[in-house]
Amino acid sequence: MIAPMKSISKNTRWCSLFLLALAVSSLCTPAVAQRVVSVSTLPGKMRFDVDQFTLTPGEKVRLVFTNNDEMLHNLVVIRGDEATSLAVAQRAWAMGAAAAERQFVPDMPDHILHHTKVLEPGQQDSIDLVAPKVEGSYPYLCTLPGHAFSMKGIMLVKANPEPDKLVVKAVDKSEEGSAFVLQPHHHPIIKRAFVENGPPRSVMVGFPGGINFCFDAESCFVSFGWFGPFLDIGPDWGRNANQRGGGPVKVLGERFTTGAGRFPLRIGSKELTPQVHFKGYQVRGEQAPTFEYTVNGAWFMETIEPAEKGIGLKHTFKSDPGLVAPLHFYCDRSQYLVEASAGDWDGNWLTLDPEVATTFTLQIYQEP
Amino acid sequence: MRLFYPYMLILISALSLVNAFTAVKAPAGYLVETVTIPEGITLGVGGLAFDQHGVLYVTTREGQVWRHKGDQWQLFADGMHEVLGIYIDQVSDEVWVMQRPELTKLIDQDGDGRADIYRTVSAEWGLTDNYHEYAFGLVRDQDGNFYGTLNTSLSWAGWAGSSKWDIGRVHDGKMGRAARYRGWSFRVTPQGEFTPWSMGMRSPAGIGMNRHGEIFYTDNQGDWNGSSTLQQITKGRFHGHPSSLMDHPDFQGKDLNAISVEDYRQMRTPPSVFFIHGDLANSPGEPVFDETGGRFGPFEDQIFVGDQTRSNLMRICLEKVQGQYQGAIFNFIDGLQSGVVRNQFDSQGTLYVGQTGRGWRSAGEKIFGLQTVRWDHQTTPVEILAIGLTPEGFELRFTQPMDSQLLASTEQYAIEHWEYLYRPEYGSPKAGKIQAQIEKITLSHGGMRALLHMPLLEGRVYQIQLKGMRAASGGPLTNPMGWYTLNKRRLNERF
Repeated sequence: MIAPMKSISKNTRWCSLFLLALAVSSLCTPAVAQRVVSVSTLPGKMRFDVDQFTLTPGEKVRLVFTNNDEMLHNLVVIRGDEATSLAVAQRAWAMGAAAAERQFVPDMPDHILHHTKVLEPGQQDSIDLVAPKVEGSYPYLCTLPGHAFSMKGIMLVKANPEPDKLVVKAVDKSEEGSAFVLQPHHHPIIKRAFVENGPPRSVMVGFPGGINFCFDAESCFVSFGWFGPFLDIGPDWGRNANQRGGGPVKVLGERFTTGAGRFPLRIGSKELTPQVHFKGYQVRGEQAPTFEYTVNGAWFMETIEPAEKGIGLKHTFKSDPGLVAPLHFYCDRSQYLVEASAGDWDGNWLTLDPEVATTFTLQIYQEP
Repeated sequence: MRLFYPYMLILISALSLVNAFTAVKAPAGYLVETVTIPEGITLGVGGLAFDQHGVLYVTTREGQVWRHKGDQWQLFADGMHEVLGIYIDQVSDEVWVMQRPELTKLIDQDGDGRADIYRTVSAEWGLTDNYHEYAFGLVRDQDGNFYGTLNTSLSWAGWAGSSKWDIGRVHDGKMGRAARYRGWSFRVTPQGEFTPWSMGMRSPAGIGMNRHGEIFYTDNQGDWNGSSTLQQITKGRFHGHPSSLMDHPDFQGKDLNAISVEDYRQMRTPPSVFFIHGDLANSPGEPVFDETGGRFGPFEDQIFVGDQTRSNLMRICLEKVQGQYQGAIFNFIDGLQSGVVRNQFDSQGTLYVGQTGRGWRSAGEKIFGLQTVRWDHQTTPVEILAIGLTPEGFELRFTQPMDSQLLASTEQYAIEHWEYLYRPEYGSPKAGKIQAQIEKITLSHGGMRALLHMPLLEGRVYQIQLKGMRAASGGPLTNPMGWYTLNKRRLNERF
């Protein structure tokens, strides 16, 4: 009828043979074309992309496994239950130096029905298999170390399969149930992490009253604030075993802007953008955090907490006592209500002489 | 300084023996125990260090620092961004940590057992929101300079899910450099001055320093890394991954894709030791030197290093040949409970093994954990102590006298060697595998050494398997296999 179908794993030549075979078979005997079942992975999720596929007893299929992930994987079909499946995997992990050469397939002929080779990222392998005559569930798994905890599926053998369930695709639920809400109750909480639509060097601060902000620890100003619950840090912590973490945390409230959108202080000249360097922060119990940075080499401390009214923030600055030039602070007063404890306004610029600049307070807020 | 305060978390913890119910496989005389971590603490270990009072500080991927001694656990610092390294001064007890965005000094100014000042010491390297841009640490030299390592960015859009980080990929490698100094090691002086130190790293997940101040790091298999490696860090050295060269002054404005793989090969210093990908390790962590003065057994000055994927501990012996370090790697302990990333010896010579398996999974099923490995101070394990080179061939040294009849029989040895290809593709096969023949065997030191006379080839990894070898006292080798990375042959000096 068609080209002989013995099982081999070097595939390029085989693919063309197979295509030829398909072509021939579709011309001559379209009804018996061999079915192809394709399995790959959910990249980065330690999952196959197929949870279950169904064959009829004795059916001849080609099982194609494509490793589209960034680590090594194989696919091993076994006879047994879930416990057998884990036992096979553990035997594979214990193979030591022989594992790689034997494709991470342990010597368990009673249990192992079929297997691909260990595939590098981007590689593909296929198995031509004949489904068992006995109906039932035949697990498949990846036997690389640790993978079988989540890289597993079922090859179902059934005489009259439901046509719409021949292949059940995996659904990525790794984000579900992984929320981990951080909420201050009695004192401020600080969390550094990546944050959605925020700077990579971020310091998030949440207060019990529901005012929160993100301080840009590279540019040394408040990037944005938000009103409501604090953070879902699940994406950063990684709440289940397959999550790498390190993802951007989620701001849970409604964002508000808090000023210039850039570093607002100038020393001496308003025109010269200063060099700023972040120096860290202090946290003491119930008190608001104090950020420290240098501006053209002069040391500044800035304590940031919720404004006393409206939605916004109160900034208390302590500047370097050695400062001799006047200090200028920019804020777009058409957008915000601003109250300053010292200095004189000229349009959107507040100018403070050195003698009053050592300690001053600014409240920048909006009406609720 | 008071170490622990009445209000601190006090929980019953116990060292429970795990050898009984998991498949721990350790050399005779070595005992693995599990530290019980109180309910509610997530301890994805990123760094381990002891202070001078024997308090263990554990930094975590979750951004915390825990202090642990006996049954007690206390939160020392919180809210940081993925803390993957720590250094504690052994005189002043000052604490520094490596967070993803910066090197930070943690100061407990009011003495309440909780850090209140998070002092930024250096944040000179570039950072984007690419998950792969880890920062690892932390060692310090005798002049007070810190050293750490910076991961490349995952730049290939096919895996990264976005092309926004696709900067600095060379010859279609997967990793690149989306921000400055990715793929570099760095030095930071006590004053906070940052100097990029060596380049060409890919995923340098562990750094360690020996008593001579020599610094080594491990790199993970992937593009440009045929298998995972141990390499020595020296100023200006190029370790092989080219994306980092974007930040080297000599390569400013140059097209890194116009430089051939062969030219990069000429530039790089080959690794001291290859881990054997798949067989031994997939993602090795922190190399720690046994400088316990024999309290951890017969392996003084050797390196212990774990693997995140295989949940094992390995052992490395190094020697200098033609001016560069190279050496042999052995498996040591299998069956630990989670991925092994960090190791530290306490003052008694007990090895603390810090673990995390989240995200990549590991042979050990636990998602995180802490275990200890202790030597019983009596039993001499049956192991290959070291493999070194002589001008005639390999010299094998053992921890105790071996059965001299077996030791002298070439039948007992199976030796093959191969090359890990230096190439931009992800990993390398064991290329050009060759079975080697031993010409003759000379025994010495009462059966504790065997010299295998044989011709040797440079640029190869030798796998030496002792099939049925037994000690004179009868016991088999626990780990009957060693792998020697032979960059250079020894010409005249002795092992």
